[in-house]
Amino acid sequence: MRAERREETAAALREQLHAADAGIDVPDGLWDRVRAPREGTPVAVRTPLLRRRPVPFAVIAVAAAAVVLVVCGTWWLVAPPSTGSGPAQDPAAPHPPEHAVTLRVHNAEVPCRKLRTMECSLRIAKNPFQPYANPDNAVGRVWHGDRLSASCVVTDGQLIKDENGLSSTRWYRVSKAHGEWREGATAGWLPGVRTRNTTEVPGCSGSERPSK
Amino acid sequence: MVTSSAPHGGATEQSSFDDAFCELLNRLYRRAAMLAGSRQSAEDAVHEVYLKLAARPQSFLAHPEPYAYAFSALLSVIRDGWRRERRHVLVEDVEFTGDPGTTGAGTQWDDGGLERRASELETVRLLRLLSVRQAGVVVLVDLDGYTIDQAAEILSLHRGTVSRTRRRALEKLRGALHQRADRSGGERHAC
Repeated sequence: MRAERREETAAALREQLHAADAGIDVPDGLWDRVRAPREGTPVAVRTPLLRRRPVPFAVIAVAAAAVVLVVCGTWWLVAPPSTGSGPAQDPAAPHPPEHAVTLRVHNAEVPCRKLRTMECSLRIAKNPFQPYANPDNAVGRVWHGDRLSASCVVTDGQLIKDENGLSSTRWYRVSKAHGEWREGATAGWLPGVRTRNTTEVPGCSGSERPSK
Repeated sequence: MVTSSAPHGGATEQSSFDDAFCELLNRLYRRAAMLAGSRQSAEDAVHEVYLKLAARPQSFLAHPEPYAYAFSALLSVIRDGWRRERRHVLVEDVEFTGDPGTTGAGTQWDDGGLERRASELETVRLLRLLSVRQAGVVVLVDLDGYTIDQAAEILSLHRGTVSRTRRRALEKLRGALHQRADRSGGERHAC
């Protein structure tokens, strides 16, 4: 029934459309007007007008790439420190230079190497030129096997002798990676006898050396 | 003339394009007149279609059915026009008025020119009840005689979509066509 009514409508519509089609006169001179540029539309402007729609895929791809870049950049800038990446992690932390060397902490006392106790910890000093045993001269503690990043070395620090009798005046400027560091401390000094370094480390410049 | 402003080295192609487009012009204009709502808009639409197709004449010329290609472009132009006019206030019904610039007094008295114009305006009114897609499908299927499958290919739609679009268009038009029949009957009595 509905199909019948639809067919009736279609028939009436066809009749209407054909009658209208037959009744529409094409105005004289239409072809000339269609081909001719419109008034006020300079010929030179027509080509850009025809290209109003650039390749949609290219536009979409470029826009999407821009959005992704902006979002990623923003995230990288404002990422919380807990995420472990981004400059906001620790603004005060010194940027490890390209020539930074990774050192492994060495404890001369064999029984202590497996223990992570206070008694077996090794001190990271605040100043390599002050007595190592000075209670104030500490920024943190590390244990045997901890890895630290050394940015430079001073060779004229306090002379330190370890439990095996090995002595050295070399001190490495290290930044935190492992171990326990005091709040606010980001870098300190590790006595040369507390590691077994075989890699060349550059000497500290004037600005990197603490006052004696 | 456009031929003088055609892209460099495309004079022959432009000439072929013009010939092919010219053959379709009358048919395209009549479709535009039905869909655009006024003759001036129809002329503008045809002009815009010409410009669109002239940008890539090879696509038009290589198409197996240039009319279908041009009609698809026309529908796109009409859709843009309808969107622009969306905020315009529409009249309740198309009021018939003879165009003094094109219709002479003798024509009004003698040859039924008024009736032909009324038929055109009534068609415009009916198609205006539809969406652009519905109007396009109706024109292709019920006026140009394409099958649903062919119309789907021309409009780059699924045949099911075209079939559903036409069905809804006919449902919309049913009441309007009946109104028209009733009104025509009334007018006959009045005369």
